[in-house]
Amino acid sequence: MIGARDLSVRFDTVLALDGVEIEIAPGTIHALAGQNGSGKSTLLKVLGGVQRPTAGEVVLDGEPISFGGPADAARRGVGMVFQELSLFGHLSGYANIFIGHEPRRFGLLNRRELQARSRALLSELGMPDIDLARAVSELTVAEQQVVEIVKCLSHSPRIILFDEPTASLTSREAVPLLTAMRRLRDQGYTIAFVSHRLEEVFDVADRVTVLRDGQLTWDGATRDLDQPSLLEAMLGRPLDELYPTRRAQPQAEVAVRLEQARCDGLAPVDLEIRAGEIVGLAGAVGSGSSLVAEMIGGLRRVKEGRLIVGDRERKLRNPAAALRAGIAYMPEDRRTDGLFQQLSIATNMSMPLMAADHSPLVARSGFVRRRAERDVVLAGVQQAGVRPPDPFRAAGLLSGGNQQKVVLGRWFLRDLPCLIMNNPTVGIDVGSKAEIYRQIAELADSGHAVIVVSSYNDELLGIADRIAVFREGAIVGSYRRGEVGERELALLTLGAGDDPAPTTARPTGGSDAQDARIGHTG
Amino acid sequence: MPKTPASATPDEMSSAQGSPGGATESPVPAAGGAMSLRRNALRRLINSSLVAVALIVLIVFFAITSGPFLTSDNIQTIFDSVAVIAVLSIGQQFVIGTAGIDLSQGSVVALTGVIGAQLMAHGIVAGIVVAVALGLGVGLLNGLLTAFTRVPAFIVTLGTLSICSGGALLATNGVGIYTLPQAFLNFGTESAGVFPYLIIVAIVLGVLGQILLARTRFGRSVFAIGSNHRAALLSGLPVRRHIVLVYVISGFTGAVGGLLLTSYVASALPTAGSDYNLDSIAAVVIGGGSLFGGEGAVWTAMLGALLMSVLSNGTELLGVSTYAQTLILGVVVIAAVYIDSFRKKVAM
Repeated sequence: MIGARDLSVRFDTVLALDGVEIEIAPGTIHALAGQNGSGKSTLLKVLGGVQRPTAGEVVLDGEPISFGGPADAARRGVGMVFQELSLFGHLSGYANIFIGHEPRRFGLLNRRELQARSRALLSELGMPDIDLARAVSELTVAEQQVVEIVKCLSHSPRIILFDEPTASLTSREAVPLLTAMRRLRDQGYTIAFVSHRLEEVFDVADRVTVLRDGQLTWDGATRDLDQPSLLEAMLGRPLDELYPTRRAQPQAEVAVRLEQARCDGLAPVDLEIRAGEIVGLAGAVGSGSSLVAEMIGGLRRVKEGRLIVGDRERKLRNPAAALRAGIAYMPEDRRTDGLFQQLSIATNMSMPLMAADHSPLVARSGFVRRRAERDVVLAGVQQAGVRPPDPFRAAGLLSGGNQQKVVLGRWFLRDLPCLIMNNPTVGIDVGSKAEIYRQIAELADSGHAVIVVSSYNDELLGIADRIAVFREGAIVGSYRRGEVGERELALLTLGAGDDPAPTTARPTGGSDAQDARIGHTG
Repeated sequence: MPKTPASATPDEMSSAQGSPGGATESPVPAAGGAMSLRRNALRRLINSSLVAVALIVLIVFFAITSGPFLTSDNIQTIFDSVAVIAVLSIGQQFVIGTAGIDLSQGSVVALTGVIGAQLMAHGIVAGIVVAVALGLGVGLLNGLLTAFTRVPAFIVTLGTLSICSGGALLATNGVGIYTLPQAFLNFGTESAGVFPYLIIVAIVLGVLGQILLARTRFGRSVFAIGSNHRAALLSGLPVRRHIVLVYVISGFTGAVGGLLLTSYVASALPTAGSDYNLDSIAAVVIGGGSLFGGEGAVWTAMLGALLMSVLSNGTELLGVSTYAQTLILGVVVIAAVYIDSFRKKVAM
């Protein structure tokens, strides 16, 4: 049994946890739920010995205990699987799993035992098919997550703490992971995990603890809880509508059109995006939906066919050219591709507008018009709903949802007719999601053409006027709002009769998501 | 061109560094009384110019422990010795701001010094023009290779370091040049009050550099590129052009450094640069700039250079050997980065 009594954690002026009590019963799966910044990850880190409490105590098997660090916690049977994968990309799975405590023989590495023990742990999880001999960077994110778990198991813990194990996975990739968690519980492990995906809380958790602003707002068995009350406990208010209602219809005017356009990894595509329309591109990772978005955004050359913006054919050589043509691209990974982390919110928001030709923020001499910049940024921070609304704060300090609002807010300042968003809600909390959906709808209502690439089908069904479905590098269907349901869309994106065990299946189309990253780093 | 260089007062400079420069300013807490406000003000001062505080402490220390330290002769000596590194640190700050590095500056000093000196036989202006053109050319080469190939800046400039050193030796056959026009030599020794002409050149360039980095779109782009190359591309910035430009600026400061050094020591040695290869990087780092890019300021880099000169001058006066001075400098560089990392942690 592990738990905490009257636990508080203070960071500088912020009270991250405020008098929290929790008890995680042996042999159960216990979910910690809450929005970003609610303190759920902090609580998990205290239990795992990563973070020291400011007040209160951690209780292990009825005894108050003070962990010296995560290694100390691991020695006492408390293992932690981290959110940021802490693996060494160019080492093999085997090497990663036993790093620092390799089995040895005569002082040398006992490779055979290392491999045998790794494989035994892997089958304990029910996933013997992962190739541990390969460099970890060659595995899919889902597979890497499994390696991370096996690494934790190699320390023979009794209690395993998962920090957002599915945050970087699609819902399809998450399934085997959740199955593995159940298996571990059935073998007697005690499991606590942090999540902000409501479905998986209901799916696997026996008990739920909900935090809001560092305080406990709900604690009990999952069966006593339904989705609306869980949301209310997380948000502090009932969530009326996750998806906004649209006030305007798509217009007749076509903003962007692809005519038999193709690039590497993608079959020729015909696609039209009208002004005032939200077009969703559905598909699993590697389906080609991202490639289309990158082609329109100027990150990828159109090899054949035509890309027409307004009424002119365009050759977009780079993102700057796309911006000049009126198309902005918001990347999927905001931390590595979107945000200037150590720069201020103000600089982050004003940069695209500042980079524009004839920018209102730049005098002809090249000097920044600082007053104009300040006015524009203050208005933008308001409109984007960034919390805290302090434009001089470093953007890297914000929560995931607020970082995304900053990245989106740039395109309120530099107002372009077409906006492409690649998975805009990955890893952000429900409250911020609702806010971002509302802003997407407002953009479309005011006549913008919006393309949303997403691997979450439910959000596309919620916000898109039209959904184009991609599989294996080609469009397999296009549907207007209401023409397709959740089940049908799921089948379309997965492919009917597709193998339902995705952890072992490599993404089709030669893992073009990875190629894409390599393709445009220069 | 800048409208009024005088408008860039130190106060404005520090605020200019604080806001767009990044995480240096911690936000005022929502709750908290006078105590925490005062602590915050202190923190902000230390954050904005740790190097200035350290410099003042050093000056006070040497003024007390060493009699001749604050004499006008000695102050001039310090200024003379810092001028070249100060000029180099301006260009280096631009490069490091983009998360790049220019290791070739020192050999650009040597190459432009000897070539400029050789050509001064045909007139001072000819020597200066060719030397500056040469510096710009090396910078252009560095910039083009860094921006358009996948060779990292470290390797590119390591290569040009060697190329320029070799060029300087070839051009002179390894022999120094000691015949220089008298007017050029006078420039290196004359001064206005306690300010040698050399340091005046450095200060003027520093003010221009500071304005360029803190106040213009180009300067903003430098930090944006250093902070996140991909995000800068997606924002529509001409990333490659700006990368080329920072190396050209660095090459220019190398050439100016070469000319200043030649006029100061009244000779041009093909091996002169080796003393300067890493000093400007140390100056930027001591000034609080991060080698990972995205932050720093020209004036703090120059103060970093000044701190190094004050340190070696003061310890010299205290009778510390040159060898030990080198050792102390190493300790200071590491300590500066260590303290700086602590500062950033606090700011988080």
